[in-house]
Amino acid sequence: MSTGSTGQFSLFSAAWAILVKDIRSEFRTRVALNSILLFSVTTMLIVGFAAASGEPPPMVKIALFWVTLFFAAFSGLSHVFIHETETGSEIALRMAAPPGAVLAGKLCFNLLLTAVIAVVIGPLFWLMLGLSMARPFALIAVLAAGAISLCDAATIVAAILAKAGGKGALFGALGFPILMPLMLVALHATRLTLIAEIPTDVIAIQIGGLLAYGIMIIAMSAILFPFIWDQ
Amino acid sequence: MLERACESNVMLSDEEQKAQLAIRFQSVTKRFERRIVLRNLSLAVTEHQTLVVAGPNGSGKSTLLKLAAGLIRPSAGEISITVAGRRLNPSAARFAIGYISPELALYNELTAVENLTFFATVRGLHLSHDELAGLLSRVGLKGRGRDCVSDFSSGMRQRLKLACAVLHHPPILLFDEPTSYLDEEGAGLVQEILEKHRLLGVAMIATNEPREREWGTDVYWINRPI
Repeated sequence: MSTGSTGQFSLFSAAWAILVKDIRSEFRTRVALNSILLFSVTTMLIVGFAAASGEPPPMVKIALFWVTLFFAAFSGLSHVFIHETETGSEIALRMAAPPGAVLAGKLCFNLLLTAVIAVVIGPLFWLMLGLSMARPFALIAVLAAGAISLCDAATIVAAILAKAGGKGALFGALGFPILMPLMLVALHATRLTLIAEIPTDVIAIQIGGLLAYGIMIIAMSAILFPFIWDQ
Repeated sequence: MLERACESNVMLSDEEQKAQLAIRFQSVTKRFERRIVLRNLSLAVTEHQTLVVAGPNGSGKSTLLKLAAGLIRPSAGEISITVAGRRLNPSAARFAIGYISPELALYNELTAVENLTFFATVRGLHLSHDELAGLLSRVGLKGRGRDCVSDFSSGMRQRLKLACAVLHHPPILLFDEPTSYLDEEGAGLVQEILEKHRLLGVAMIATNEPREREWGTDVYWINRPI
């Protein structure tokens, strides 16, 4: 049996294999993507119709956007671990792959999925609700940083939930306390990008806060995940 | 063939302690909430041994294999896996274990080749096209490599599980009900794998089939029916 060019085990190649496997599985089953898109489109239409009958303040519109992203992400991102547990493939994966590679692969897949959600619902939401675009690049940076941190937290909560034998319905309840500080910073930072007079460094601090939160969650996940995965 | 009973809480012999390749249970107890499944169990499986774990349904055969694979932890006692003289805990020794059980499933949405390639890659191996074809042929799935596992019969899935369990040539095989869903030819394949493996490593099989008990060098009874 050949063992590749170096013959050395690589955590990166194992994580990459898990990412590719999850993308391939998602393209064939569309479990996560369908639930996310269904939720997002339904929510956007309801919010859009409701907004058309009155003019809610910008902060309410931003809150609606983040609430939609939060639940859309959580309805889809939980599948990465719950699907493995429910189908029994988790045992095969545990026996074959190191926990670090599983976390990295699943996190990358969720980041990709979150990017798709944000790219689809972000512009549509802004158009439907008629929000201003005073600082478009700052807005994109805030949305990206918030979405990355949201995804990091969703991934580790999904792992805990899958091992606890829980179902998707519990996902929001478990994720809420972890994500509350993130959502507050994301709301505030998004509001700042709507005001042209706000200096760039003020927004940069908020983006830094969002990214720092995401990095902290990744660091905690790297420590905790092997214990969660091996339970 | 040596037969042992679960009640015997024996100390491990010097020979068993010094083995270069071994699975050792020392005073292991496993309980699920209040129910004790395995109580104060000590045993060792060393080189060239194939231990058949036998017993009625619910006696703890699968639990014993899961403990050896590191999929669950003992409530008390210690389990160790020795590979090339290095003593490891079961979860750190998974690179050296080939495990199948009725609860383990492969990815239904992937093809047989995609499953094998995936499990090889996450184990740090690269299998060539010929090696993949050879492996599929060995388990009787020649020509079915491009078919999705969801289109496979239960017996074919079991054959693919066998291929995934042995693709990394593990020195330790842990087979829980290995002939489930298999026809005569498939059962013969399992027997052949175990016989060849006996020359190289150790194996544990959990089964209720009288015929499969003959495949072991030792039989370990849990709650043997009188």
